[in-house]
Amino acid sequence: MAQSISLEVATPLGRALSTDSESVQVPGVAGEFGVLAMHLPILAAVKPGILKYRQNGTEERAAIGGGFAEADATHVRLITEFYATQSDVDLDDAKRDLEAAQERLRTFKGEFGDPEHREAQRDLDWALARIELAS
Amino acid sequence: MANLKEIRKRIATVKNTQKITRAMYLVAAARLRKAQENITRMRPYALSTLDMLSALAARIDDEDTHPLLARREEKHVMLIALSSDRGLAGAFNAQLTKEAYKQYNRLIEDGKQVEVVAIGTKGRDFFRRRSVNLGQTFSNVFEDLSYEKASEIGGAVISAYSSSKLDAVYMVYNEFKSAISQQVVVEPLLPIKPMSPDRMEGTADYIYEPSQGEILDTLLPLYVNVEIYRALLESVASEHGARMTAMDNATKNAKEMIDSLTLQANRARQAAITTELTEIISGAESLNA
Repeated sequence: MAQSISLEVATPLGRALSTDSESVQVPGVAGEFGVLAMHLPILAAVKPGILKYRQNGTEERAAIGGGFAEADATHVRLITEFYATQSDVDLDDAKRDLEAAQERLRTFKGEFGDPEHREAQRDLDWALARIELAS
Repeated sequence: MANLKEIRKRIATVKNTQKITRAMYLVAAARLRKAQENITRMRPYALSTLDMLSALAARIDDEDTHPLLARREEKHVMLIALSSDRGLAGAFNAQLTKEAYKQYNRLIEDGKQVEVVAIGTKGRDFFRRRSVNLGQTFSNVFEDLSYEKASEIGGAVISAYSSSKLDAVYMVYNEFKSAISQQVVVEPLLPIKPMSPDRMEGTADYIYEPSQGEILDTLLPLYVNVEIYRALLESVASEHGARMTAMDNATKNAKEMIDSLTLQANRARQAAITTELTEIISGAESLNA
């Protein structure tokens, strides 16, 4: 069996997840990356998306919001605004959020990369992550 | 001795007051429980953020890497005072404003320019009455406390600091120890102090995704917001704790007062009965005679 790494997810609403896992996949801002035991120290910005981690051969999934991930040989630590498992997701709610975010992006007049634009994009990604997880 | 009717009226008044203080005690107790829960839930997030930031800061040799890490000579200082919007919380606001005012005067004596940011109407009113350089004020933050409100305050602080209008930011707030004890603390918020870099020496540098600069750009403001949010939560819990204790004491005092008034009322009643009896008896005797 592969060496396990500890995985911890903290949100402002509490510690969402604290477990051991064989491998973890994190949706980084610069693309998804995987972490196995003995990984080199990494500090990455995280965008809203799906967090995947493997436990006893089965893949677990959860939607996470934006934040940061820090990992080294033995652990992965994530801080994120949101965390939801498949049973937490309210699909209608997510769809409403998606439409609202799309509308905000469509009517956005400012410059690309403005805080407002980034926020709308983040909301959009978070809605998409939840929808992807639920379906 | 006051007459019986007056005393009974006073008893009724004190009883009404007692009802109010008891209700306020119960409300404060319920809110305290919720506020305490919020802090406990927030802690792992705040700690992880701090851990990541210190791990990152320890790997930065140059303080000029990011404006929020920049150390300048302290000339312009911002003092954020966290009071409450409502009174009747014992010494909660008095202690806070006293300490904040002391800090303010100390900084002024040192020849610094100080701007006070008051969160909560009680602190705002206190500083308005004094000749204090009062900057932005925030009220109604605590009623429905959210992370968004904390980042609103954080955003204002960060932009002032980044544009070099400020050289240091301190927070004065009531730290929550327990339901019966709160302590006023003064905490430096900016510049962010890299924590014990020697300890980290020899550690391999991180792989940064996307880059160290971009991570700092988002992680540092996040840290500031999280710290403000944490201080707000501490303050709210302290406020409810202080109010709970104050109202518990008020209820007890009201009870003591009712007891002593009841004693007075009984004495007055007895005295009245005695007088009446004496009158009747002497009346009857004068008929017999």
